Amino acid sequence: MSGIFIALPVAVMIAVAAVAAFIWAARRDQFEDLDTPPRRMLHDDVPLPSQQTEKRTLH
Amino acid sequence: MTVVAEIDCECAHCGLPVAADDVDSSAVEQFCCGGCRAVWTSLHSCGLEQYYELKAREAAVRDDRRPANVTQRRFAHLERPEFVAKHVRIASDGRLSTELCVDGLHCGACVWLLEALPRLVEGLLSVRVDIGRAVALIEWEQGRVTLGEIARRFDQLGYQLLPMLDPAARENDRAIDRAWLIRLGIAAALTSNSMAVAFALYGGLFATMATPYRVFFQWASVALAIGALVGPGRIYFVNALAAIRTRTPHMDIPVALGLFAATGSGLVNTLRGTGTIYCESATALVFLLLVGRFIQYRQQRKARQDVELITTLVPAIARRRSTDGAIEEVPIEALMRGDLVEVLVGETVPCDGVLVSGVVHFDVAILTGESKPALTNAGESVWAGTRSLDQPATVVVEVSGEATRAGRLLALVADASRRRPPIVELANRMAGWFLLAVLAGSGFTAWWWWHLGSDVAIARAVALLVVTCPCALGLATPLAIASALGKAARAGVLVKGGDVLERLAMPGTIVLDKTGTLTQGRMTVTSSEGDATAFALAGALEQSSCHPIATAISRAFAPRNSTAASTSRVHERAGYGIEGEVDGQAVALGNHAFVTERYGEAPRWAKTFASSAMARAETPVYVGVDGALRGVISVGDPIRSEAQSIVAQVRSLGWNVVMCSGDQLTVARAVGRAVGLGNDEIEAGCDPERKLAFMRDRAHASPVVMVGDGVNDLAAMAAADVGVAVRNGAQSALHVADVCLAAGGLRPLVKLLSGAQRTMRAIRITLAVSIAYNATGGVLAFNGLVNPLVAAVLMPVSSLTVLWLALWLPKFDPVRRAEEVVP
Repeated sequence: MSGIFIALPVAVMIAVAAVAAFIWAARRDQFEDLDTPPRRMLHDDVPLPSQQTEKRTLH
Repeated sequence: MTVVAEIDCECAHCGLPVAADDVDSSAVEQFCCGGCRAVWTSLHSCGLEQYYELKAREAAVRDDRRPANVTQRRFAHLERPEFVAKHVRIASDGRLSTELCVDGLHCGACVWLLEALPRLVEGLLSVRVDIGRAVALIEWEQGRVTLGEIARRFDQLGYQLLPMLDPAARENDRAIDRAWLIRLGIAAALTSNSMAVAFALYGGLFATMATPYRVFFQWASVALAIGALVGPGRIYFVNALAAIRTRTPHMDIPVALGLFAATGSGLVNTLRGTGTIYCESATALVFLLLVGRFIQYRQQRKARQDVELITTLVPAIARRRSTDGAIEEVPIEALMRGDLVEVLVGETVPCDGVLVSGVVHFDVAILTGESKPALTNAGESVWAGTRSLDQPATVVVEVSGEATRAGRLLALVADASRRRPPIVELANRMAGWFLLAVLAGSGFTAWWWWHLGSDVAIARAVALLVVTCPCALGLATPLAIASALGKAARAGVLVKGGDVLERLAMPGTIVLDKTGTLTQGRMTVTSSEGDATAFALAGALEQSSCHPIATAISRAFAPRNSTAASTSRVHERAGYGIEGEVDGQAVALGNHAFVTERYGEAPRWAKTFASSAMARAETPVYVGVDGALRGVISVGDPIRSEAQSIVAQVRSLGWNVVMCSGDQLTVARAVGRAVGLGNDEIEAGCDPERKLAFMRDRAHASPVVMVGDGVNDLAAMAAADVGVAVRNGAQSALHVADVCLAAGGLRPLVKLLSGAQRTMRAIRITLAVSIAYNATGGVLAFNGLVNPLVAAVLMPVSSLTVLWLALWLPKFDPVRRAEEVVP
């Protein structure tokens, strides 16, 4: 049972580390946009057909 | 009598129904408008047609489908030095970047499309779209492409790039958002750890736990609670102190008292080494209340940003004619009194001023709500925000920007939305008192039973603390509302915030706008009597006019692909009618005066038809061919087929129904009769200011709901307790409204009202169950009938019951497919 004197502070340290990681992420705008990335990752990154000619048509 | 029907057919680009008279039977793809056709063509010409595959798979983020908007503007204002200085960031390697609002985003396919653009546009380095905020971060290389060119590419695809109104304020909002997130994260971590410690403590009460361990756990719990109070919970004390200093009651006072008492007693008991502690509840309450506050803050901020967005109502750019006759595009800020401004057909007037020459019809529905176009002669006033319908107009500037009538209207909207008092949610009001009551009850229990010995007294006090649980109280309301909002969205009702449902709990007055809300908001031929060949000629003749009535007639009688009839010698007399030659036959259409002047007195059948049309508030148009009256066409803004039954159903739910219209009394009364409203329930001739005053007069007693579609309803919608926008309404109306009816027509309105009543009933039931449980448990514990172990088991059971009730009870009827077909 005396192990609790070590286990509890360790648990608190882990929680502190998690909170620190969360603050780090929040400060770097990781939670800024939660709608777009899950959609973006589903888009296949296929090359557009005949890119060179397209540039001309759009210009 | 023939009635015009519409065939169901979807636009190949935007997916909205195509009007029957716009269907091109020779083509595979159908388009609802030229904008959609242009975007579809340019997507296919540059190999981006994958967009349609993606779009079919994606769920929409914004449920306001609308036709593509291709303006073909130059976007020169995005290259002006003032704009660059304020919005564009320059990196050291010559890369430029800026954040701009994007109008027209719909789903993930739009994200793909816009982010694929750098592969097609030379010099455009990257586009990152944030679909939730409708913002794009654009990066490009100086010298190879300009922002104006990029904006024109976006425009070709139907997306408009708009400057952000106040980049500094947005940056500030982001900083506040981050602070909130961090505060919530810390509170959540403290709460979960505090709960784990509490679990050990409660467990240790019944088994044997050596004193050193117990003291250790108690210190841990006290430390976590103090952390929660000093850290994330500090705002309650700050608010409470401010409230005490200004001597105003505030719900944070009981919250702060409860938090202080719970933590303080825990600390004292731990120091003394006797008694029990109740710190984990204080920690949990800090977190639960913060979650509620955060949601509320986000809603308020969103409302504020949406009001900012509507300033895009008036174009930012005007075509100014300089002294040498050349036309230049200038931002409206540069307009001076006396400048000459050109407005092309279909364009929005950028300033208030005076028409220089000619006779022009203006669409003024945006300002006054009148469905009929306003005839303006040279020398008469023209307002910013109105649209020229038939002629290019030259306008002398009087005022522009915020001093215009539209600008003052927007100021009214912003003012009305600021003044609306926020509702303190029921659960928030109760939470602080609950905590105090529990602490007092526990202290009372210990004092009352002290004569039986401290062991018994403390065991009973602890049982009471454990058995009463604020979790259900704190979470039940937000969960019931979240569940209701989700169910409402599936039923075609988009509700912007939970407080809307609380405002709708008691029946009050519902104010309906006429044009576009009770009616369909578009001039249509409703019936006709006479010679069909004459109508075909009339349709061909009307193709040369832009007047809404003419458009309705040509849509109904001149199919786009019929071999073009040759029209000549067309002469239009504004306010009367039009005449000309079609395939060699003389054709004339117009009002009664115009026709009797040419063909003499109209026959009896025509007069009967015309008077019945006027009784329905429609406009009869007489058609004459080769010197004889051949038929009469009735043109009107048809009343939505479901309007009458909706009015009756809303009444049966206990609401008063009033109709507010910008039209004249006779028109308003005719529509009112058709939907079952009495004359005393109709307010006619309401401009936006009068609508606003009308709402303010009624705002005291019971909730007032404003249902509208146009910009002229905005101020009233913002001043109402709840503003509701119908589908296909003005974009700005969707932003200001608390509720958007996404499914067609007015049917979702009944679902909203009945759903809100059911949700509030569900919340009250949930709260009642929670309080009843707590009261029963408290009384049993007081009398020593519950031992703490049983209490610890009962606590989660009660929470689960309450949560299940909160999620399951609120109900919204889903929209049946058949109802979605627009009549």
